[in-house]
Amino acid sequence: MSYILRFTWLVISNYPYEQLVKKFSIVKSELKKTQCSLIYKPFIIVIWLLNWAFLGNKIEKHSLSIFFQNVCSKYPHIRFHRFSITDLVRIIIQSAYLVLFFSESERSKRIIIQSNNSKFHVYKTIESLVRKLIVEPLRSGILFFSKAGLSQEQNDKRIRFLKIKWLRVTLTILMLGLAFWAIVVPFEPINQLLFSLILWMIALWLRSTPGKLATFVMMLLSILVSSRYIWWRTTNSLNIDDGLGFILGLGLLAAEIYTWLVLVMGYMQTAWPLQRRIVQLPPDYDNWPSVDIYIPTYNEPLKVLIPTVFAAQNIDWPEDKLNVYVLDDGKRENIKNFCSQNNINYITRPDNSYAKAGNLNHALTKTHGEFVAIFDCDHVPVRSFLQMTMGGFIKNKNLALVQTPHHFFSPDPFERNLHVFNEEPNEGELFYGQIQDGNDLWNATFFCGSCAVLRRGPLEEVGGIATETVTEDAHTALKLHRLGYDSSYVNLKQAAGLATESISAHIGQRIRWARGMLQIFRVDNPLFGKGLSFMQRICYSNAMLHFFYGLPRLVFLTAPLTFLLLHTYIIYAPVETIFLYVVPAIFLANLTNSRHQGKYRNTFWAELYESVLAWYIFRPTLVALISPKKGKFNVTEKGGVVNKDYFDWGIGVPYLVLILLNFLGIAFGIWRISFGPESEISTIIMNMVWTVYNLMILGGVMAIITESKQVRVAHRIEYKLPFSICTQDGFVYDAVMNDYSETGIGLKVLSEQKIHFDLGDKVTVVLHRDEIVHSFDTTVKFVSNNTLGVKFDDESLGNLRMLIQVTFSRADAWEIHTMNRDKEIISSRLMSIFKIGIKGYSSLFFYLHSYIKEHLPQLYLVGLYLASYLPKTPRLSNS
Amino acid sequence: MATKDYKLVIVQGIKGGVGTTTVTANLAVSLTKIGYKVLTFDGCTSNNLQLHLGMGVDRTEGLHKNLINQQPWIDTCFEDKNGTVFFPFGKVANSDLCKLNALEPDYLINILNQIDFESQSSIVLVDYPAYLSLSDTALSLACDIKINVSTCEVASYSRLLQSLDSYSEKDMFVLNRYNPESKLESDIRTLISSEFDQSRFLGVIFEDEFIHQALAQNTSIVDLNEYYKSSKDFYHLSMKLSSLLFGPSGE
Repeated sequence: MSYILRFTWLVISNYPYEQLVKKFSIVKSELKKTQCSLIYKPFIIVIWLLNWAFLGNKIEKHSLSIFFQNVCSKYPHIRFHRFSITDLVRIIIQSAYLVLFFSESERSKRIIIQSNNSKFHVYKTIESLVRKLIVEPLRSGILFFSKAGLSQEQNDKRIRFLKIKWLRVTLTILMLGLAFWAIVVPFEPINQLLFSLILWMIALWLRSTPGKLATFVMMLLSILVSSRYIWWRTTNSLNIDDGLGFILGLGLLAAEIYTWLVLVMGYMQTAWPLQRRIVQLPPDYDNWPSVDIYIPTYNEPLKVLIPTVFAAQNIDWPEDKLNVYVLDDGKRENIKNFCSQNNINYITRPDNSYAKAGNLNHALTKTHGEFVAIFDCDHVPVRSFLQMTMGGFIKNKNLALVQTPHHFFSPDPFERNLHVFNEEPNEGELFYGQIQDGNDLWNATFFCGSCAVLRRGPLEEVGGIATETVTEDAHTALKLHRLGYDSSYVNLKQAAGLATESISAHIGQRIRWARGMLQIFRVDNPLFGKGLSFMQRICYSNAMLHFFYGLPRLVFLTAPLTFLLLHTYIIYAPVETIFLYVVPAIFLANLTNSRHQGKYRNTFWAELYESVLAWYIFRPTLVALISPKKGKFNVTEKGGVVNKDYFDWGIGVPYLVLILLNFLGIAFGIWRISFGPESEISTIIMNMVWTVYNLMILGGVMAIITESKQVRVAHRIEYKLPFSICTQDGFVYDAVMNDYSETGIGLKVLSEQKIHFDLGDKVTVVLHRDEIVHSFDTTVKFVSNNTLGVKFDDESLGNLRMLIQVTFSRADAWEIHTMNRDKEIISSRLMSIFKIGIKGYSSLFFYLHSYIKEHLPQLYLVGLYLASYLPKTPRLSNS
Repeated sequence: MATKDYKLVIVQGIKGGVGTTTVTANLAVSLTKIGYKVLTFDGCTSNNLQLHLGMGVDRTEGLHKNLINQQPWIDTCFEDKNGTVFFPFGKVANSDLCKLNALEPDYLINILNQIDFESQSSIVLVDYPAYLSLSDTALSLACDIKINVSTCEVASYSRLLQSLDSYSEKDMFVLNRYNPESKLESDIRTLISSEFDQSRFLGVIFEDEFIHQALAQNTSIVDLNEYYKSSKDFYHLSMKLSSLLFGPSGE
């Protein structure tokens, strides 16, 4: 016993206590370093010791403070320096989350994925291999054979063959009969499936086959399948027994028939875009006619008007045959002064009757040019405008109207709020890129109110610009067409203007267009009355019908809810059958449109554009349809600024209600899947998928009505132009312009070495257009390597006029923006719509959040408190 | 003389002090750099061409000096670092200047005839003084192109108008020392360019501090830095010139 005691004493007396004390002090200082609360400290030490005990050497190198940091990174939302009981709850929840969903191996995996992200492309390689080895050779082989079979002789023979009238008529009747049969013949589901699959494969193959014929066949297939769908819907799927379901089903069917009608008429309208060539003017200037340029204005600020006027004076045309008139309906003194100082004719009138149309008509009585060119006061024409458009008038004496596209150098609200300016085709691109070009084939080009030239004679013959409706332009063109005059469309951007500055202004403008078009539909219906060809009637009708989209769009956005919320069957058929009919119809329509107009509009984006307007446009269109006399002309505001990002609650309300209803529908759907009868589950799922799609579209609407900041008064226009700059010391450098605006230039100095510029340096910019050379004194406002931003020192009118001469007036100023777009990938386009939708919801959340924070602070605090219990993603720590 | 195996280009200022020598030197260097054999004669008594081509102020040798002193002219041939061959004027004392008149009128042509040009793409540039009239000399008959150097000053414009009728097909124009910051010069530039066919304008050289700096460094702007605006302008000029001399495919 004494031996044991002695041994113990020996051990105790010989133990190196200094070391123990040292270690203890290290731990103490480490513990101090962590700065955590006193209550946590024992826990930390215990965990650390446990860790040490179990893992031993593995964590030996980690000191206590580093260990603590690692722990902290896993609990990012907990403040360890102050103890609170609720934090304990949070720690428990977070620990459970970490253990269940976020193990250490998961974390290391995440790091590996982050670093090796590029290695996961095996699938894509296989796909491309298959494509390269099988699909491409097949396609090129087919192309080769189809080309080889088409010699000139055979072609001629074929044409002669088609010229025999009775043969043509018989063939047409036979074809129509067959098509009708193909539309109405009922199929068993399995047959319908096979039919759809075959058409689908043909369409997919045709989609990548070049040529117009392939487009035509795709259109025909699309018409065939969608007609089959409509026929089946009308004959087989109406719920006659259920009163409510029958009525709602009729509503949906009407919306579907409307969509079908617009689809078919759209195909006809744009089947063959004419792509008209420019007609050369006679070489002798004496034969060039005289032109009056009208620039109507009402309340637009002078600074918007000035570039237009200067550019109009710059148009290359014999000086004595070009007269620029500013038609001021605002009777403003400053504009009158400006005009008299700058040698511009100023016309005003005693009253303001009939708004813009009246203004133009008044000017018609005061001037005498053979032709009238009209520019809205923000549309800046280039110098070649008249040379590009007037040739046709001289060649064809019956030509009364030449229209050019409207191009915008500022982003429209869609582009600005979705941040896609110059990346995706804008909303107007489809109309000016394809529809007008398609109309041109049928001699049905619409007058669009600006950037157009009219012959005075016919214009006076129809009584000047039409005053009956608020879209005077389209109505005037309709009247001209009724009298048998020709129109043409020159698809060259020969002028550019400002887009509407906010979504509410955009809605206002579209309401006016819709109202006006429907007024024409009522007052002077293009389907009836004399003078129009069949296709002209179709083109005009489609343009007017298009503006009815408000109600059908709303019907589609709410249709699945009738089943989910009201439990009525509006399509009375098994889900599988619905799928077999509707999916091919939608798919083929999208495929065809993606091929045909993908260059001008992204697939699915039309639904975004229409959904934003749907609620606002459907009431005025109905009103105009019922009483066409109501409604007044409103002027679209332009050239304004949006000082900060904001969410347009005023516009959003109806859509918020729709979103709420749709979410309610989803919730109902989930509830009914869990507790409802099993036989209904597939129907519920189909309706829920539809609802999710609608929710995404509505999310896109939310993204669009979140107004992004727009503080630029002068918009920057991208343009690549070589020019030179001179420094104050007399050194001359080569430079390339990146962008320009009325107030400055962004440029890159071309030099292999870095050239030193300071902010505030004076630089002379020398721009030229052929023999015209202008120099501008500027101040450097931005420097980054050799990229400079300079601002003009002298913003006087004289300088602005010179600037416009060498920039805005360049003949190719707007034509350089041709986007080279690859073939669309429809699935990725769908994904992008989903992304936009999610962006919309996150911005909705953000603004809802700040709204609650501002107006309901208590609710906000409660929410914040509740949210703090949610588990958080750990930070990636250094180790 | 029947088969002239060189192209003769005469550069003459429309009046004195417009920078003819600068244009000649830079043209010579840029033409050499784009692949031509270039032979340059300095015809101005001020003897400045050599400064552009890397020869110091202290060197006094020169073609005319040797001609006056009855020494062989071939001794005064020099080559700059790019391979541009040139004959400086030589430092001739004022008292000896009158002796120049004693030289036979076609001395340059005679010299050229004695030279054996190896390559078909040889260009002879002559910096001809503004104060001497070129008409009726054998030089004017032999030359393929005459470049008239002008500035955008009022004096130049008036000289231009005075001699407007005397210009022939061979006359080309270069605007030198254009200062875009001056409103007057811009206007005169527009006036001058409206006076002639665009095809007869070889180009515009800006008033550029870099050109002066190049001279200070005893070299030409084209040699100093190829990326300067003015260097590019000279390259443009020589490209145009070569296409005029050898046809568009001459390059």
